[in-house]
Amino acid sequence: MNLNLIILDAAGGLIVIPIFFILHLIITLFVEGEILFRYLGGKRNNRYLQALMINLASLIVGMFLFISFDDFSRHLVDFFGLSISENYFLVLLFFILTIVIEWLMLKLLNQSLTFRHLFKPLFVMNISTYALLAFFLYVSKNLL
Amino acid sequence: MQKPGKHLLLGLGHGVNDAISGYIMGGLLAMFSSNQMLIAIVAYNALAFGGQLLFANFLPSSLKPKKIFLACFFLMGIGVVLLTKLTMLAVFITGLTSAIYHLIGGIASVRNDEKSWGLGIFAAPGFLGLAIGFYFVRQFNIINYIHAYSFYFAAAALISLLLFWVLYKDEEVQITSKAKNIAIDKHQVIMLLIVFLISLRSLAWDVIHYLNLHKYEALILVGVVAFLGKIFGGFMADRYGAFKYTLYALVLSFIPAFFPLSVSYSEPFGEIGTLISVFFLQSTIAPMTSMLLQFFKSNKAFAIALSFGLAIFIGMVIFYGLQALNIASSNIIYTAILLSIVVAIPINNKMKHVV
Repeated sequence: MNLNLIILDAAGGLIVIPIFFILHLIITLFVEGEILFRYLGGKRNNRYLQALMINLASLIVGMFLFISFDDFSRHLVDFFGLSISENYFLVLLFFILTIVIEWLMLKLLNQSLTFRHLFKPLFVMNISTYALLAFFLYVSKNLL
Repeated sequence: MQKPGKHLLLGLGHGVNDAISGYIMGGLLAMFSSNQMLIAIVAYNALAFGGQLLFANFLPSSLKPKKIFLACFFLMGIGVVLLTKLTMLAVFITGLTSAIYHLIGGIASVRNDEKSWGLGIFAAPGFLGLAIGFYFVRQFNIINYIHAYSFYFAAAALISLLLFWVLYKDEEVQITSKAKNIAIDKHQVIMLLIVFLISLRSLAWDVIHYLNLHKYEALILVGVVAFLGKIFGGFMADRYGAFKYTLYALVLSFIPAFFPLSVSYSEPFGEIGTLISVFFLQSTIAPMTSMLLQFFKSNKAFAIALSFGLAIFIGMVIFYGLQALNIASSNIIYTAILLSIVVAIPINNKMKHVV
């Protein structure tokens, strides 16, 4: 098995096509950093850095959480053996997990802002990158 | 304690930390299926290297590190003990302590006179420790041996704890000169280029490591050469300047590219070529870290987290990505080193005007 499980969303590990993995990695950082900047203002560079940090946090927590449960880790590594509905159910679970972790992390990095204030950009940026993930997933399952 | 003694102690701790990490990673070989093991190793790397950037952001403006070091060694021992019972918790604890030790140890080894040799001594035993930890992997054919070897590694953590308790003189370490969150303000392009440069160096190193993964004696030999190279690089950077030395060392590390890169006793030129390459490649660690420190004089934690953490993690991500594309290992090494020379030239030129 290859090691394409590293990616900046907790769900990113589901992608096993190398070029998508690299693409998703770069696009996630760019898109999420830009959305944070648009919604929260401040310096663009710092928002990109924050995007990197919160994604690192969700990656770390996500991986440790899922490897700790046999069932989940089995689903992770056997992802392509599952049906498409099971795949998307897992993506949904990863999405919720990502939102929770990144929300907490973003609050730590922006203590002057409220949780409520941070939720909107967080939701928008993750919807965007997960939509991309779903697209990659669709392409890799149906077209490749 | 005199300064060199402090750096030697920090380096020793680094070696023990990485030896335990290598041992834990090796333990996964025996206890997990290959898929689970790979996920666990990636999770460990994400925490131990990527995690440094997260911790760096939440450090106070100054601290006394002794208690943190003691806690790290205590937790390393706990991690070893838990290896067979609660494996993922052991991996988590080891990753966490590794991130904290690299970060705080790196900060503590930065000298006030901006000399690089302290960083070289701190960094030197890292891979050698990892190789020693890995060496015990081959004893893992029988799972019961894990308990026996765990004793030695837990004892190493305990001895390190005692050594630090007795010998380490706790001094206030300045981390940030202004109490605010990390910010990238100026010269960002050069700073990003340096991070990229470190990632490329790390990528080349990952491939060399990977090529010799199951040659345990060879790995230790590579570890010894890396050890010497890192110390050498620290002193040479002080003599000739971090930027200039890095450029020359990268060029010198490319020369052995004309020889096979896998360490093999039946291929003496391959062996020598690899070792020369490793020596110069690893000798750039301290100077490259010094370069970043020049950008982040007001925030050492960020510089150390980038150099010892994030850049290594990025190198690893690139390595895994390229590995899946089935590109020949030697081509990756040659390209990474050549590209790093190309990146180092403009950095070297620009820095004459910037710093």
